[in-house]
Amino acid sequence: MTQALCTSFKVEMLQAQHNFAASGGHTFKIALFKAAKVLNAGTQTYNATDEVAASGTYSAGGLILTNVDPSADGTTGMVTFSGNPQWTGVTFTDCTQALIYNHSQGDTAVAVLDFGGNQAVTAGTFIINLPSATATTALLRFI
Amino acid sequence: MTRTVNTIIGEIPESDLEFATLEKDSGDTLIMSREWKYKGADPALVEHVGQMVRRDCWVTMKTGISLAGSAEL
Amino acid sequence: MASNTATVLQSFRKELLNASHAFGVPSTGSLRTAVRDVFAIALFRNSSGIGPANTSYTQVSASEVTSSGYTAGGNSCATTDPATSTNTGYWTPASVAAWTNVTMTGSNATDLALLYNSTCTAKLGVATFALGVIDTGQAPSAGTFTLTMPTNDGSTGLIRIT
Repeated sequence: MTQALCTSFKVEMLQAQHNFAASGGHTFKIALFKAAKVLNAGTQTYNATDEVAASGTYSAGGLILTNVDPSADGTTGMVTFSGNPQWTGVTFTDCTQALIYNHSQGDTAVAVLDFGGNQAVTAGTFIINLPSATATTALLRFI
Repeated sequence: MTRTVNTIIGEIPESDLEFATLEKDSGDTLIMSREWKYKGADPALVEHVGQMVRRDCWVTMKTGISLAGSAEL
Repeated sequence: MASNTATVLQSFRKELLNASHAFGVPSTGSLRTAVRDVFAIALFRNSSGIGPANTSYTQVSASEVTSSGYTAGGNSCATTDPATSTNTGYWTPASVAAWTNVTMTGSNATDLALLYNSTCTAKLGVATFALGVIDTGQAPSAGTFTLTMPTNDGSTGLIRIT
């Protein structure tokens, strides 16, 4: 597993294909995957193979993220999303990574996030606490 | 037909000019310049003998800029 | 006046994230029309104090060189498509036309080129590039000024995202 900005996303950025604006921007989603899923910089699109099974409030495709206007902090451009994605009443026995993707643009991949190990949940709440929106910690950064 | 070169003192026959090229490596750019001096015998232009009357510049960019993108929790 | 700085403009890093710059043709489904933006390169006088906090061509146009043979706004870049090499996305214009019979000497010498988006109304800037040694620059005199782009690949492309 590799935590990474997808390479296809980098060239798509140069083609103005991803708009993170809060108003009028694209719809981005975050989906959860098992350890068997190969997610890395070479990932180009979302697909449901090895996605965690639906339970509680988790359904295939994951959750829609709430956009926040991109901003700059010093010489860093950055993007984050409002709130922390969470699912309730879920049971995951194998959940190790997430994919952020652009649902408005053919489910093209943005970034792979590594949880650093299996995050098992039983009939509980699963929350991803997103990092603070600063030049050194924001979820997506161009430095 | 005589070739002429555009200069600050007008269109001058190439045979009345001499040029020298200079190259400089400035790290990310390679610079070349060519300076033309008047060496002609036209009495109307005698005051310009030895003067640099044209300079061409070539800037070759060896590399562009890199933005490092990252994503992490 | 302060020296110029060769840099990526701070604003560009943010603008990439709201799809403000289409170096290539946006694909079907994009919020933008399927037409790429046109980018241009303009030349600026030494010691104009242009740097990372500047945001657009319009903002710095008062410091642009002047010369017969040079039109305000500079020259447009020939189009090319962004590409990838391993984990790097990159883009380099195919070329930019040379300026002929220009005189940029003395206080009109140029040490900085600005790449900017000439399609957008705001003429948003991308990055500045040094033309040799900052504060010395280039001083063509009744001559040709030629700017050659770097090799378009993942190591040297004009704009790279790594």
